[in-house]
Amino acid sequence: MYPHERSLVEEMKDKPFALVGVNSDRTIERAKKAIADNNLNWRSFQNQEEGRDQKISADWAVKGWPTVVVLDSEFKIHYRGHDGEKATEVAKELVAEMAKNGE
Amino acid sequence: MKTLSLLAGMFLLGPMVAQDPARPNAPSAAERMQELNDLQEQLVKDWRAEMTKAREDAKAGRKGARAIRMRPDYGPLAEKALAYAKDFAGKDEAVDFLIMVINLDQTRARPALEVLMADHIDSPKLAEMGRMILYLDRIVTPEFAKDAQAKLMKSKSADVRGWALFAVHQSTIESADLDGDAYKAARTKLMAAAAEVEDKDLANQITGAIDEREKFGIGCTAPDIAGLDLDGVAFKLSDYRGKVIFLDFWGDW
Repeated sequence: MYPHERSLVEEMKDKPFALVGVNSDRTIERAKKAIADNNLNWRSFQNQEEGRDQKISADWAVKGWPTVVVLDSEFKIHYRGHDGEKATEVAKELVAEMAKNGE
Repeated sequence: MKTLSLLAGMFLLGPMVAQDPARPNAPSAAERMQELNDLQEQLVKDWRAEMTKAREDAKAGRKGARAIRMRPDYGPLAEKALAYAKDFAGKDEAVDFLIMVINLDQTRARPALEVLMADHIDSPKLAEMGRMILYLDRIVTPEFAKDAQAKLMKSKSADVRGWALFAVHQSTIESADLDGDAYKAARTKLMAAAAEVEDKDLANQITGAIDEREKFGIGCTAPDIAGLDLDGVAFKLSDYRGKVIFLDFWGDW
């Protein structure tokens, strides 16, 4: 998925679009190594920071990885699933619609 | 030579065991199960050793390095378990052997399932198949799975009925129209089952699936997230409100 997400962020950088991660690696070091090794270019939440009683993924009823959720500008869910390409398609359509509506 | 006479002995014993498992000289079901558990341990051990060796070979660049199985080959174990199930045919002890086959070796699951459906449909032990009941269509043909799940829905055990009910209605919960009758009917049945079952894992799976659909399905408004980024800086998902958000649950592992 990395190259796909990386180029998506690159391609959409001047558009009303944000790729936000929720990282589930066991340690922050591990996540940072992945980011450095693969030039990852998005910001991520720690799935379970110290002191949080429940993981973000559990709050969101996520059961499989990777899971992608696509939200429109009003936080309405338009896609939820494991297919990165389908999610990308949905996100791009939403961005195109915003442009059409002059938002 | 020793092996041969042992084999011959087993040969002789075999039919007698089938006739009367309660005979004092015949191994009891518990002994048989112990034997299978020991064998399983051995198979795992062998497989680990093989993996270590393959890794070392690969590291040393030795020829013949090859891909290795994701899990041990439980075939020999499953064959034995099927045979022991026959020794205890019709008795509740057989259920343990058959479930072992289903849980460990999906290529031999079908004969085991057939016996369970024919002879043991009411055994509460079937609940030990647990989530395998959900995945029956991955190990046997869809028609066979459907038939088995329909039978399991009539089990006397609430947990078995619950798993089967969830198996049958899962796709409705995942994708039927939220306002439609099919969704509502499935939801009502599943919520009733979730309240009735003893297996907490099952109850959580049912309520989790419904939550997932009703709170996080297409058209729902997502909740905010407040947390820390990987540098420890606090931020919120709503910082990005006004943009299309591609929220990616990821990990490198």
